[in-house]
Amino acid sequence: MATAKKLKINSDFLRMLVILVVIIIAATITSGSNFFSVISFQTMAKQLTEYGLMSIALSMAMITGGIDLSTVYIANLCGAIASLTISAIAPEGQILGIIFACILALALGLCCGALNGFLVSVVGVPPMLATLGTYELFSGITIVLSNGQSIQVIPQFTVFANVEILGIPLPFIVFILMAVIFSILLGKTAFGRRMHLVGVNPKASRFAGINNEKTIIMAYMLGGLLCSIAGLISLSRVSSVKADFGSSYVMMTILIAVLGGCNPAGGWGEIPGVATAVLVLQAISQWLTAVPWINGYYRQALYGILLLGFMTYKFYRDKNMGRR
Amino acid sequence: MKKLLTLLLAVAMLVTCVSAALAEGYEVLNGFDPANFKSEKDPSEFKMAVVVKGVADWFSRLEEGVTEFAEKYGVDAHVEFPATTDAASQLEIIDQLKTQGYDAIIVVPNDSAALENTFADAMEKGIVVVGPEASNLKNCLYDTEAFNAQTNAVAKADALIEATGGEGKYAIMVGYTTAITHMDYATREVEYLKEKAPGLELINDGAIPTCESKESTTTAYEQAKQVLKANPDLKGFVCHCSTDAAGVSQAVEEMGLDGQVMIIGAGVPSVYAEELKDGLIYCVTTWDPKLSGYVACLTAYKVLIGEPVGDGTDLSDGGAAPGYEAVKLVLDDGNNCLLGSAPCVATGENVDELF
Repeated sequence: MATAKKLKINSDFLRMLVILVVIIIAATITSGSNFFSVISFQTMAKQLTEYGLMSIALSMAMITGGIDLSTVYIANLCGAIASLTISAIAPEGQILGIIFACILALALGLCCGALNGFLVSVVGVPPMLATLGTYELFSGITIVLSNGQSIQVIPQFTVFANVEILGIPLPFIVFILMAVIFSILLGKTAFGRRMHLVGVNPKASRFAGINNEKTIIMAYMLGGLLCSIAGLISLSRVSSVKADFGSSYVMMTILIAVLGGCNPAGGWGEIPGVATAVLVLQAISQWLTAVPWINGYYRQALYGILLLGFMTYKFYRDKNMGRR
Repeated sequence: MKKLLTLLLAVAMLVTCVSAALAEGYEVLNGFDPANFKSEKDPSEFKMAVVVKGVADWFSRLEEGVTEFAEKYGVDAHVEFPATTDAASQLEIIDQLKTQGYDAIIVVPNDSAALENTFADAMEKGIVVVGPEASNLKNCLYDTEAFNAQTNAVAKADALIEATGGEGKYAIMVGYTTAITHMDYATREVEYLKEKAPGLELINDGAIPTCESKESTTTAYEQAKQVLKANPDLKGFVCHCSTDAAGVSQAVEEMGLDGQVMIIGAGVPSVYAEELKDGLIYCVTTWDPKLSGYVACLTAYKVLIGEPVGDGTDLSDGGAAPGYEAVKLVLDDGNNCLLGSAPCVATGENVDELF
């Protein structure tokens, strides 16, 4: 319990865990081996990585009281740059060239995040508008780079997403690794505490001697880094990148962050809850495909109900608890 | 903070290095032989899924064809509708279907490039992949198409001859002069008409096209009005973009030229049902997605039972899919296309039975 407290494993996390177990049981009962099989879990693990990482990125922004709508487009931009660099300097799949391209993409992710953070904290643009602007900017750059077409990556690069260690897909290991690192970062370090405080009350945090600008820029930069990792994984899994690939993830990441316990007004939210919410959403999605009589018409509606229901419940509960 | 950032970067780099070191040339190939996809199962146990682009009338019509096929053959075939038109949604559904014991996955791709990898893998696992309306998808056994450019152009040109009696002036409207298919259709129509109906004259000394709608109904309306003012004796108007006929018919009606100007439209017939019945629009050419769905399922079925499919195969299934009596096999840069000859012409009389 002591470790649990240290990592801030809170009620949001536990609740999500319970929901996850319930969904897995319900799905197994209703669709049997269509849902409950090793290959099915491997597929889920592989699919969720990209928006899982983006959800963590978004949660960071949300905790500081902002939002990040540009996550998907940072990922695509980084993927496009990596793919183009690889084609230019390592067309035969030379390892050094690939590593260089990846580092370049990760650095670009940090820069994109820094731009978001700068606009939000220093310039003072409301986060929703700032990241909506950069969303257009990043997707625009990707469109120009790709002429609006898909950019293919060399086949050697697609190995990454297909590697399995003890049957667990490598992308999922990356996701878990990042979830753990960011859980510790936000739950245990002074930086994490500063981020929360900036989100709760920027004025108080300033008087407490916290450099708000630096904290916010850092949060968005780390988010940008996560997005670029997501972009590289997506590039490897899909073997191509397009400016608007994954546009449906934008709304999905917001849904996940809120389900995972982040307060859209800032200040509250922990990564373990968010990471579990990622699993919940992926399980629901897999379940919907495994049950043929629920068709895609209901998918969107179901997500909407989930989000509204959960938010209503949470705000009601928080009001009773005297929080906000 | 710096320490943590360095750590993060180091981890990310490590992961990348591991992956790069493991690179052993995973190739995406299209060298699959349909004969290897024969299933040992009883046909009544076949499971097929059809993944469409998204929720739209067009795909509901396609679903009718899939349902008809499923009922006729007693197989489990159904349509999956992605919640959004994002290529990622389609990929997600396909990846999930691959784990659920499907024998065939049929797909109308949004972005073929995003699906190549997953389909190469699916076919390695022995899943039959067929793509209707998937002319640039390489990792599929067959791409089934309703018609080629010539068939479509001839259908439109014949409709114009029928409507005008083969005499008088006509105009051609395309979406954009940069729209390759539109311009291709238009050029073929003019060629065909020159030969078949010399009495028909394309205005502006035969310049192709007469005007561009820029895929906007408003622009189509304005352009059509100018053309009609300059050529009050115009007899025919051939449209290529799915929204053109709406603008053109409005202009024709406003100028009181209905009955004189025959409009040959394109797009979804039910959108133009009223105009077709009033005779304001002569006909709308398209292809029937219901047949596309039916034929794609049938193709996958034939592969699964080990019946060869190729040049000259009858996919019409005894009248269920007219126009596909003898498909042509066209190999185009890795895409094995089965080409039907099934243009669909909607008029005031049959529009209610169409989609």
